[in-house]
Amino acid sequence: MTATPDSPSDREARRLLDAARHAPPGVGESIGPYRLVEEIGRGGHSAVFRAQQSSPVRREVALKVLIDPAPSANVAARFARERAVVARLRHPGIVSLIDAGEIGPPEAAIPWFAMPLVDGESADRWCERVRAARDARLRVVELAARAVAAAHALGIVHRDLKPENIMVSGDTADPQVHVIDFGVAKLLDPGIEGGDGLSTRVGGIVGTPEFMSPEQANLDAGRVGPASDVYALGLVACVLLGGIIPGAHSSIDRTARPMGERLRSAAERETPRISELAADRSLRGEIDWIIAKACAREIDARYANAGAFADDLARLRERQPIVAAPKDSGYAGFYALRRYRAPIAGVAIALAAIVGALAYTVTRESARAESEAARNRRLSALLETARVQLMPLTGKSRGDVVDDAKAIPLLEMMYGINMELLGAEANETQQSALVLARSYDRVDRFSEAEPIYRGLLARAVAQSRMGDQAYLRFMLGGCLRRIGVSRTGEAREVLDAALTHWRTLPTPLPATCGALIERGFVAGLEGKLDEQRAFLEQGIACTESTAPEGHMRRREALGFMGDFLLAQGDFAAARTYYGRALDGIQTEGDPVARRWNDVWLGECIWMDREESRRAGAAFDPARQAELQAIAEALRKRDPVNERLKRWLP
Amino acid sequence: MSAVRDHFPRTPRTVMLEAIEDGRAHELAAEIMRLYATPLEIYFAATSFRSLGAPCDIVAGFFSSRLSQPTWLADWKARHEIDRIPLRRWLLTSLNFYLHEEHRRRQRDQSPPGSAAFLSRGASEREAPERRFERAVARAVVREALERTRDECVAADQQLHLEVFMRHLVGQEPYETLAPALGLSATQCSGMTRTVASKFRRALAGILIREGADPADLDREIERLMENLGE
Repeated sequence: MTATPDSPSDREARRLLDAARHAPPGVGESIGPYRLVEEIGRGGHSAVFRAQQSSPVRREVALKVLIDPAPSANVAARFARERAVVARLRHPGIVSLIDAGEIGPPEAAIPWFAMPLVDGESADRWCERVRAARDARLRVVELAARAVAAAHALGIVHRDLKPENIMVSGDTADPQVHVIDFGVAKLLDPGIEGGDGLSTRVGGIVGTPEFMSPEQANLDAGRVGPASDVYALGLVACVLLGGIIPGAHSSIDRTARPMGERLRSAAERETPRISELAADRSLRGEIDWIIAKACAREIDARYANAGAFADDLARLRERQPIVAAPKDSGYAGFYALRRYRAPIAGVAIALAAIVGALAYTVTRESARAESEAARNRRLSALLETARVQLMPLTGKSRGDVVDDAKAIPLLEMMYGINMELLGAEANETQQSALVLARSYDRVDRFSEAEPIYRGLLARAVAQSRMGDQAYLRFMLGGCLRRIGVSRTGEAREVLDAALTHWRTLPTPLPATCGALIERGFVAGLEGKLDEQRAFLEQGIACTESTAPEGHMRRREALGFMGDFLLAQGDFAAARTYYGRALDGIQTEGDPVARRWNDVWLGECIWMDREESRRAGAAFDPARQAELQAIAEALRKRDPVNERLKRWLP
Repeated sequence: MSAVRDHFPRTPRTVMLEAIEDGRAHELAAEIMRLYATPLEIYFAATSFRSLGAPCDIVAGFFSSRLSQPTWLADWKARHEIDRIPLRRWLLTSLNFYLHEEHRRRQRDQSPPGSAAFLSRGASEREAPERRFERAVARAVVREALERTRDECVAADQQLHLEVFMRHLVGQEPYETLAPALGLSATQCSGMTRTVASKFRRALAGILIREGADPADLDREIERLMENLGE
């Protein structure tokens, strides 16, 4: 070296100053009326500052500056293009251009532009921090897709959509979503400003491999279009809903992998099935289908653009049929019933009477033709018929649905009619939604039950209905617990919230007992057996104070304790509880009582058989036949019941 | 993208006030002395007051006399609010006052008279010391900024970046020969140079803004420093 840092000559000092003159501005400096307060982001060629505007108005802005003092023509053109793109876009979900200019010596002018400062965080961080429920996560994706759709409408393809480029603020009830960083956007119309050949050049890597479509990862720039953004949005949905990026390593080490390897993984990524990848069966069905369509390997199989993707997410949110459903899934028929668009043939036997009686078709087209009053009368008649049809499918002791498979189409119809006639806010509508959700819940259709519970809960919160909030949290907690261990933490939190409210009341409510027992199940899933037992005991005590002698709630609580003790291998104690649960039970005409009678009786016979086996003694064939009969009956109602594995080895 | 901290003061007023309010006036005074002592000595040595004594003694006396006054820096801040006078000009004006005061005091005390040239300064003589002072300030500012840059590079474990920056920019070694010698690619070297250049600019900005420069006009201030360093 010709100089040490301590003693540069005047000539050397001038060189250093010249280098500084060509370096980009930093914190403490001002660009026009904008004083750079804090660097909030930095990429390879540009930096984003939080800046304070002093005149003509005082406000904070985000100011993006090209920090590369000797940018290549490509880099400079991309920066100019981004500025042009942001200037063109006008959408609440995309930050707009406030101001732009250049600083520094003319021979090395540094371009910059200012945008409104978005006060938010990346979509994945926001979801994690606010513990967003699934519907809020889907809403974030939908709103991001709407913003991207606005860009697509102007012939702009983002090309680098990922959670970091989707900024979210606000609460879960009303998330504010902004799509940012159009730095590598592609302009489909070469005639518009910035739409030069650079945007479509072959061989350039633009975007983040983990969120690239196959055509983008294959560097096939000519095929990259709106559907490529749809693909990336589908992967964003995978991250937000399942916490994974299909076909990629964990987000922590992804940047450590060689670029070629990351691109190869992206190019070879199979169409994801999110429920399997995330091991979350509640994502089966509509969410699986929507993501699979967004992330189809073939461009033509995807949604054509982000608007179409957002539309389908909106349909899902509004409980309308989605277009992503496979043609052969029976889904279309299911929804045809729900929306009364056509008569249904070949549905469940229980529905045949209704469909026969109501042979007239209530299509949208015919509905338009008839008067509203006549239509409402017809819907009311339909509703009443559905109520009548539902009666034999409910239990006598507490009016709950006992044959959910048959009841669900009726419940969907009732819910739909209530929506049509009374609107979403009506008590009847919400009540029918709750009954429907509980039926979904009981037949493991959690992805349909959970959003209904959450929607009802959000309304109860908005209207400060504390009792309803507690009850809906109890329902939701049970649903989350049944989804699986991945949701146990959420289940615990909502159940604890429900119990916290109920503990403020002078006397327990029937639902309090259920929540205590649910809380016990959650403790069991977390391996806290002492806690589980304590909650079950509290649940039994609760039912004894809220339900009369012989009531099914009291019996069920005792039966759950019997199950717990059986699982611990304490057969003697389990028999005692099952015995108390069965004592004096009346099964005649009560499907609920009959079902539990069979289950508890079956468990008692199974324990006898197990003890005989352990003692090496023969087991009474008559009792074995009895168990066999009970098992067969149970299998018809619940083919995947875990007890069957023990009873029918 | 990564978030970074706010490194530099917002305005000279805030840094001074904060320093004084935080009880760091002494620290601030030491910093001013470190940066401006040499330029002021050079200036003094070129003036017709030079017979007053050794430059280092006179400038030390000046600092002692002015920086010991708690309102002196506040006065500059107040003045800066009105006419944006830079700190270096304030120092120079203050030094001139001090030299006149010192001269009168010695006359009163009948201290040994200065030379005949002592009170007869021509126009050319008035300009020369100021030019020397400005050049010395420019050197001091660059040296101080370089010092801060070096500290920042060391803290960030970027000594290699600093070496590339110095060898390329100061030593004029082209990347084609520098990169292989350091086992790097030319692109890497270019990136390292850019990184350190940004740090150097930030350090310069911190000094110049504290000195009273307009944060929106840093480039002009840098150009002024370059001019003061001469061809």
